[in-house]
Amino acid sequence: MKRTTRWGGLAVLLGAVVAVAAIAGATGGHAATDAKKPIVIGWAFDAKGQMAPFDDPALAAAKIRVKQINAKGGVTKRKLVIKTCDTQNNNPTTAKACAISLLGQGANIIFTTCDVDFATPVVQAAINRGVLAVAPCIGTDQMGPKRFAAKGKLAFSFGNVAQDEGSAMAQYAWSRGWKTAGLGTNTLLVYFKNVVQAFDKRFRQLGGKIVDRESYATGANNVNSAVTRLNSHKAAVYVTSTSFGELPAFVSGLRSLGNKTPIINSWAGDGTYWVTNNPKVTNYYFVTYASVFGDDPSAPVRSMIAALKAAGSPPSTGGFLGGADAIDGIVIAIKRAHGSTKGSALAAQLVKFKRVPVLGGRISFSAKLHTVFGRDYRVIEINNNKAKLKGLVRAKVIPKL
Amino acid sequence: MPEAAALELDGIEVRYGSVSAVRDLTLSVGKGEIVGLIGPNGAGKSTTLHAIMGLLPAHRGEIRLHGQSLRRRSAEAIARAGIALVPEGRRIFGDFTVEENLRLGLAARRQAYIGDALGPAFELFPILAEFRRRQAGALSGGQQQQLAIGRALVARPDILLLDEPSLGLAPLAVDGIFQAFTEIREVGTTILLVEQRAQRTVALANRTHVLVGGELQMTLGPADAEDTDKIIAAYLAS
Amino acid sequence: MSTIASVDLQTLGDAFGQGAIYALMAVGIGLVFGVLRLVNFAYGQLIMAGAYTLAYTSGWPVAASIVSCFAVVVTLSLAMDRLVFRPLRGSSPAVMLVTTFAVSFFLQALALIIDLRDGTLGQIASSVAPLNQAVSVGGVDVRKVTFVAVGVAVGALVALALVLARTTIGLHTRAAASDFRTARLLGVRANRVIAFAVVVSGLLAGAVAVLLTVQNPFVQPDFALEDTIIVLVGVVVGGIDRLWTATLGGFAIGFVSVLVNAALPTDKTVFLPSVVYALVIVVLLLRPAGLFAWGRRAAVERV
Repeated sequence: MKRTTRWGGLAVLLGAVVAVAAIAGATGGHAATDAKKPIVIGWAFDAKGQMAPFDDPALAAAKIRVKQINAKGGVTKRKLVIKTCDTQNNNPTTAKACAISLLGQGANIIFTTCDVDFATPVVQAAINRGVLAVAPCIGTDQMGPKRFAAKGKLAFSFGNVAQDEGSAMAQYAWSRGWKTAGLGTNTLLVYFKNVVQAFDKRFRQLGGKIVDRESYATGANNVNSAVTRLNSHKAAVYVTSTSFGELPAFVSGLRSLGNKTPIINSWAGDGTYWVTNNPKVTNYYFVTYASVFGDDPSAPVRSMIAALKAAGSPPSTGGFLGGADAIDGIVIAIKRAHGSTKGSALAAQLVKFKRVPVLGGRISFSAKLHTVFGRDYRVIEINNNKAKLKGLVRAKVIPKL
Repeated sequence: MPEAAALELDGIEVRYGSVSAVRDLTLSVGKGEIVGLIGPNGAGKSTTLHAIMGLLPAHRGEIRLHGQSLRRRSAEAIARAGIALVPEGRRIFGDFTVEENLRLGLAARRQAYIGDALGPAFELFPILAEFRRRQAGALSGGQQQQLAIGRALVARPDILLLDEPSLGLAPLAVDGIFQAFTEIREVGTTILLVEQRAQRTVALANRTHVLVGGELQMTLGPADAEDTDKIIAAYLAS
Repeated sequence: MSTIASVDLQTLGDAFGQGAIYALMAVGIGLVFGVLRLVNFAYGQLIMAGAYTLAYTSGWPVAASIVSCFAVVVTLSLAMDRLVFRPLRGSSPAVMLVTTFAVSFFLQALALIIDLRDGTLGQIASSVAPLNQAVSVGGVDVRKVTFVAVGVAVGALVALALVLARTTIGLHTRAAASDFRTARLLGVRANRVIAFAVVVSGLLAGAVAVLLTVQNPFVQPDFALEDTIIVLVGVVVGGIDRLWTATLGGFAIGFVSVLVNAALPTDKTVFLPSVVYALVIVVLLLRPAGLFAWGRRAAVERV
């Protein structure tokens, strides 16, 4: 009796092992099918609110880019798919719900809006689950461990980091022979402040002199006082980083005093939505990702702009490029990570990016800077309300702020 | 008995919330008459005037001016229909001059005037003419009462309602205004006078109604002015 | 590195200009408060509507553009009274307050929808921008708009004072602001007085819209919102229950804001609102009826 039970038990055990092996084999076959599952990008974006002018073009460009990549076979034999969710003017509850829903739908990577404060609920939802969080155009270095601690290692922005922009602006100014500068800082955003601080440091490093520093704030109606005081200090160039209402107030404010000094702005000053007829905008410069005025030097960028126009989303600023570059960057990172879409694996690849080619040019990240630096900025000049490409500039040094 | 009633109240009821301040009040005032309305505090005398003036809604009953219903009309419309109220406490505009206060009264006038529009006030109360550029707040109590009455008169109203005009006035001042009432009656203006000074009112008015607890208790004639027992009895009845 | 900016003649000029514009707004707000006992938080939206009108009529001759601005603002002002405030007359102050908030949000939302029809947020109103040019006065550059703002404010205030003191509608309005119930008893037409206040308030808002677009040509739905809040604070500090104290309060807060902004070190100007509001708290603690209110007439309004 005992011997029979022992052999019987062994038979059952063997049977179980065979069964498990068979199941494992079947699952292994299922895993092979897994590899064909699409890579899902879950994008929580602001369709119609404050950030829509930035999020919409980036999304449109990303969609075109995804189409192009899928047409060539996708990434490691998998197709890219973008699933979107409207955060409704970045309402925090809606944004969080969007993130959770997208993750629930199997998003491998989460994309979010172009402002780090608004993006926070989405970023946290993603990085807490070990999923990579990407923004197409956040401009400060806060999209990373600086803001989100250890888990923030999984957060990246394909926007230009403010320090890089400010440094590039300083370099351009110096290359034009402008040796003195007056600075006007809009204190509303960290981004605005960082751009000007970076300009300040780099310009002096190059040998330039800052003749005056003023500040003003959005909504405080004090652009005028700042401008009047800047005007009383003669400089070869006036520098600011601002957009919307303060921009024409600043530029018109100076020009109506008869001051013809060149003014230079960061990407914040991209676009012509703000130009006044009275006085016309003259001698105004800004740096941006791409020229949307028909004269961008890169052919692939020009065709992307054409594709966007054809798709019914003509870009008004160069910010759309962040969306395309983000797709390119992710694709390269996935390839370098041997097909893994795990957050940590992708992050490990991204921080090693040095002059990696994407649609917009070459981009870099570092362990300290999870926001792009090293782009070739297009310098655009607006004269008589007409915008034209003036040249390219790349920051050689990134000042520490 | 009055011929054609200038002002008629027909079974009116006025409420404050769920409490009736005036119940089933019927009285009429003939053209050129002075009708008095006396009674203890809280009897509903002021309430009656406010209801006539449209400041309070009459819950039930009818208020008629020359036969036309006044119910649901606004105070300003009633003022412009020819009824003027001299409110309790006078309510003159202390920061304005005497003249400005009087000119305000013209808001309710029904036709343009020839000559000095403020004439009726100055003729009745010469002191107002003397003080016309003074700040109204600087006048004495008696003078302010004259101003309030004058202000009501410049609109040439058919009916003048007065709410306790003698309140807080010195005896001489009271004499002055009661004298003014007879003069006003002589011109043909009808008066409904709410007063605390029962005797003087009964003596002056064609008819005086006693209102107690919101209800009309009795009607007295000038002959009853000396009959203090009767008056007291009327007040105590409820 | 911070530099202490000095208060100079230039700043003084700017301060008068800002004070003048805020005084005009204060009168508009105070006038309506006087007759309606209503603090109209949607007043800023009237100015916004005027600014948008200027933007959408940018191609017109300047005079026509300005006239259309006034027309739109006065119409909107009357509509606001007719459709929103009249049905609420007699409601509690709390209800009326909340309603003006609601109207303010509604108008901002409406403006947003209209603005976005061309795809981008914001419209440019730069027809009157030439007033932003400066003339040299004794070696100091003073912007023309400063003179115009002060001139318009003084002219408007004098005209209003004359109308209030000398005309019948002025007398009726003053009476209504003092004691509306008694005024109505005397036959003063409430609707006429209110319409007068609303129209004048609208005209002032139109003027402010024109003046503000000189230096701020970019019009968004929140145009003049911050200014309105500051003026409201100024009006309360000055004393809301009397027109001239309210006006002085508006002027003062505008004037002081510019001076404080100039006196603060350049990297600390972000604290401007804090400093101004701190001053306001101090003033209200010491004189709750308002800085300029004295005598028995001052009422402590809870706004």
